[in-house]
Amino acid sequence: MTVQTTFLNLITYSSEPADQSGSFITWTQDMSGSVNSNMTKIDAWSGSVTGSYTGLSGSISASYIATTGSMNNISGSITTINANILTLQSRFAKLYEFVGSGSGFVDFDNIPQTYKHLLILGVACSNRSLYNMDVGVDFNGDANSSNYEAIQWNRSGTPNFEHITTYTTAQIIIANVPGCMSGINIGGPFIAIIPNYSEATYGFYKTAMGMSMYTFSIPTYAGGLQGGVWNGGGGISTGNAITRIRMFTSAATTTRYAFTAGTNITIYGFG
Amino acid sequence: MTNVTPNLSLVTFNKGVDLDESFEQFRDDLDGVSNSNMTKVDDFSETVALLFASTLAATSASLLPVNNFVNSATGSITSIKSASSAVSASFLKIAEFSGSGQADFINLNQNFKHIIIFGVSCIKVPAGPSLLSYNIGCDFNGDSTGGNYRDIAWTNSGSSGSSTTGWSSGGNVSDMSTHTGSQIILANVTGSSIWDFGSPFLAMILNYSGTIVSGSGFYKTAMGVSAFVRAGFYPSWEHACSLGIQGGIWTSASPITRIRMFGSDNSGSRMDFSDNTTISLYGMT
Repeated sequence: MTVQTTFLNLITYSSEPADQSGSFITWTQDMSGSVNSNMTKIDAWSGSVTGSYTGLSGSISASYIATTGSMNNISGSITTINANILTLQSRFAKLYEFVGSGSGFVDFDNIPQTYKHLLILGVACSNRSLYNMDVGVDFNGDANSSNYEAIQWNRSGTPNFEHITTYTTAQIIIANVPGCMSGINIGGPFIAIIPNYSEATYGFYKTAMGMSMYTFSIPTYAGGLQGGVWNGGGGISTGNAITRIRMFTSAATTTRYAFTAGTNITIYGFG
Repeated sequence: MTNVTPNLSLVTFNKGVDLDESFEQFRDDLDGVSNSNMTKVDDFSETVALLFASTLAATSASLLPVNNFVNSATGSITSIKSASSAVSASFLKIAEFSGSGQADFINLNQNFKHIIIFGVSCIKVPAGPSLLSYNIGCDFNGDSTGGNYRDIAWTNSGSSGSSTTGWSSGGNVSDMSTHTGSQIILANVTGSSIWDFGSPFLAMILNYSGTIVSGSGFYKTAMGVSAFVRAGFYPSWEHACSLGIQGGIWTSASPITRIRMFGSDNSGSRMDFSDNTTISLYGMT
């Protein structure tokens, strides 16, 4: 009796007596007859394999093309997202932060020039034992009094007066803050701007302005509007980009005092 | 007569037709050493093996740049995620109040350092003779204890005249007022029963989320600036205007997790904002 193979159903003959009944002609017909012999089955299988391979190859090629297309799309999306992120980063970023831990001065050097305006937010206290102190700034390390003009319109409670005064004391005043006489728990809040700080080729003299208002024990308080201008130093008229900002406290004189611990000043860039 | 199959050209015998073939010829066609069916099948098997090997190599080669791309894209996405998180963390609107009533911003996001407040508001007051200028006050963390806050308001304002004397007699008053109470004044705004004029203000609460260590840390502070004109469209004499800087201190260094904002006439009572009031809080890292 003949047996068929598992996959191609090829007819096999064994040496068992049951398979000896088939004639030689039957055997040849099973081996390579023209209709359903082993050879025709093998041939049909080969055609199937070739067809499957052709299909597989085509499918792989199509998948590769589709994958390549997807990769190109993803690359394009990543490039676009990266550009968008860079754009967002160029609009606004925190550039610097000063956290007082003991007496210290702000010295923000090598300022990124990729932004247009600077915003300063701070809570500060001077280490000088005086009720009312100012926050001053100078630019690019220039401490020449004749290069700055500042103005302050403020109101204080101790002493109790309102005044508007101009200064040429090597700084632009941007805030009123308390001195350490008030106790270390007290800081004065202020906001200031330095517009168009990075412009290096044209424009006005560099300016800054600020606003502040603090109190720690009635009637001790002060606040107001402050601002001023820097001529660029060294006789440079305009177009001197600000690359360094020093910040300190003062009593509107050229003597500079440090910030106390607890002071926190943050500088942001706006594109 | 023999036939050949269509794919491998295997030689086949058809019983009754091919009987004239000899056994030797049959055997040679079936598995002779050259060009027999077996050698053709064998050749085909080699072809299939080579094709699959070639396909496997090509597929593997194709997967290598795909894998490299996936790694590169994963790295880029990680960088983008980090960069976008940094951008998101640098500035965000963290709360907003719109409408009437009193603002109560609770569970404030503690991931920022400073809060900037932009607002336009009007204080709701009854119809009839009343002040036209009020304050916006705030307190922190639900603390309305009298004496825990000290504030100052430096304003220059013009008050309403009357139907007979007109606007000019209202005069302008420069004032520096101080208070020790249960609020910090942030702004000077209009008060109205018809809330047609809103007053703009800018305020900030700096270092609200942290406790900067220095002894017990700085007490929390807030300040604001405002300017408004309530034009005398109707009635024509009912003008009001005010410009000022306000600010103060809360005698606590605790992180601020809740801010309440309300209208105030400095009497201690808290008043509602009128319709159309909008107050937005932005966090800055």
